[in-house]
Amino acid sequence: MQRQLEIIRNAALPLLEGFIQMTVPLTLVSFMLGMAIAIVAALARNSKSRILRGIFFFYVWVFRGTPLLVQLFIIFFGLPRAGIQFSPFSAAVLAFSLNTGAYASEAIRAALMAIPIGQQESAASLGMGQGQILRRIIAPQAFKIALPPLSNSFISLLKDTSLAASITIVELFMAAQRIAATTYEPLLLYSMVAIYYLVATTLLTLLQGRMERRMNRY
Amino acid sequence: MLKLSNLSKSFNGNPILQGVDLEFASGETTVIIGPSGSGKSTLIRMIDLLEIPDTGVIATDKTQIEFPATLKFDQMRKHRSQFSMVFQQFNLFPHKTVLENVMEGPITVKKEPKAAAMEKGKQLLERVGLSERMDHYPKQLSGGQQQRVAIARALAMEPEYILYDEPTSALDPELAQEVLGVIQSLAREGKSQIIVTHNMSFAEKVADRIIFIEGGTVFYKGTVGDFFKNPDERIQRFVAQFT
Repeated sequence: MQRQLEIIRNAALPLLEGFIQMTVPLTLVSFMLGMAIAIVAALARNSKSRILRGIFFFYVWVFRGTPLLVQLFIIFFGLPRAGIQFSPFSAAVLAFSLNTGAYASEAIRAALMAIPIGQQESAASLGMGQGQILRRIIAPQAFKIALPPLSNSFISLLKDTSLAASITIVELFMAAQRIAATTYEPLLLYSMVAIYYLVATTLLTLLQGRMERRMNRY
Repeated sequence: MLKLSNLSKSFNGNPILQGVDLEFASGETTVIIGPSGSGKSTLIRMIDLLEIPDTGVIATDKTQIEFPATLKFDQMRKHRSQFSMVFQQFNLFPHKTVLENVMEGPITVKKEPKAAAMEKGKQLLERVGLSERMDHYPKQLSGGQQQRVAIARALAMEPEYILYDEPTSALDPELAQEVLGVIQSLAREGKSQIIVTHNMSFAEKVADRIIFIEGGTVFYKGTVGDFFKNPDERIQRFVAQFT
C-alpha cells in the first residue's frame, strides 16, 4: 500500500504535465480548427452550388465513415510514402480537426436549418445584407441550438486525443503508459488516467450547463 | 406613389398572379382582400421583393425595377428602404430584447448612432403602448404585444409604405383588436399602408381603398363604400361570407 501511494504521488505531476502540455493544447487547437472547418462545411452544404455541396458531402462522408485511429495512421505513417511529412503534433491536429469538423458540421447544418425562414425574411426586409443577416440574426440563434451537440463533440475530442499516444505524442495517456511500464502498475496508472479525463469532462459539462442557462433567457 | 404594372408570377408553371396593374397613392391605407390562394400574399411580398415577379414593373418615386431582372443588393436595399413589412408570424428576433429589435434596422442598415436609434426606439414603443416591455425578450410577450413590437420595428425604418401580410391571422380576436387599434391610428395619421387581411369589418373601418383579388387578377379596385355596396354578384357573395 505504501508503494502504491508512493507511485501515485510520483505519477501525479508527470501526468498533469502530459495533460496540460499536450492534451489541452491538442484539444483546443484541433477544436478551433475543427469548428472553422465545420462552419465552412455547413454553409457549403446549404449553398446553391452543386460542386461545393458535392465536395463537402464527400468530406463528411469520408471522415465520419472511417475510424479516427485509421485517419491518424494514414496521415502520420501513410502520407510520408507520398512525400508528405508531418510532425506528430501537426498530424494529430490535422486528423482531429478534420474528424471533429465532419461531425460538428452536421450539428451546425441542422441548427441553421432549424431557424425559421421568417427570420431571414424579416431581416432582409429591414434591408440587411446576407452577411449581416448571418452574423447578427442567424448565427446567434443557431449557436443556441448547436451548443449541446457541439459540447458533445468537444468532450469526445478531449478523450480522443488519447489516440495521439499511438503516433509518439506524450500526452496524458502516453505519460501514464510510460510510468506503468516501469512500475508494473497498469491498473493504478490507467485508473489515474481515467480520473484525470473524468475531472476534465465534468468541468466541461458544468461549463456547458452554464452557457445553456445563460442562453435560455431568450 | 407606388405603381405596379403588368406584374405576373408563377410557381412551377402555376400562375399565381397575372397582369396586375395597381397604383397606391401616398397617405392612403389600402386593404387587399380575396379568397385564400388568390395571390394577395404573393402580391404584397413582391412589393418588398420577398418574392421576385417574373415580369412587370414596380416603380416608386425613387426606384423603378423592370422584371425579369438580376437584382443587385444595392438596388434591392434602395427599393426596400421605402417599405417595411409586418408579418403574420411577427418574426421578431428572439435573441434580442424588444428595444433591440426596434433598434436593429436603424443601426445596421441606416447606420444611425446607437443613442439616436435607442431614443427613437423608446418613442416608438411608447406609441404602440409597450414602453414597460422594452427590456423583455419576445417570448415573454403575448402575440398581440409581439405584433405591436413588429409594427414599431417597421416604423423605425421610416418607410414610405408599411406592408402588412395578414397581421392578425395568428391572433385571438381580443389580441387582434389591440394590433388593429395601432394600425387604425397610423391610418388616421396619414401613413401610407397596404394591408392584406381576412378581417372584413376591419377593412371597412380602416381602408381608404379596397382591392379585391381573385384567381391571380385584380377583380375590383376602388373606394370602400363602393366595394361594400357593389352590386357585382361575386363581390356580394364574398362579403356575405363574413357578415
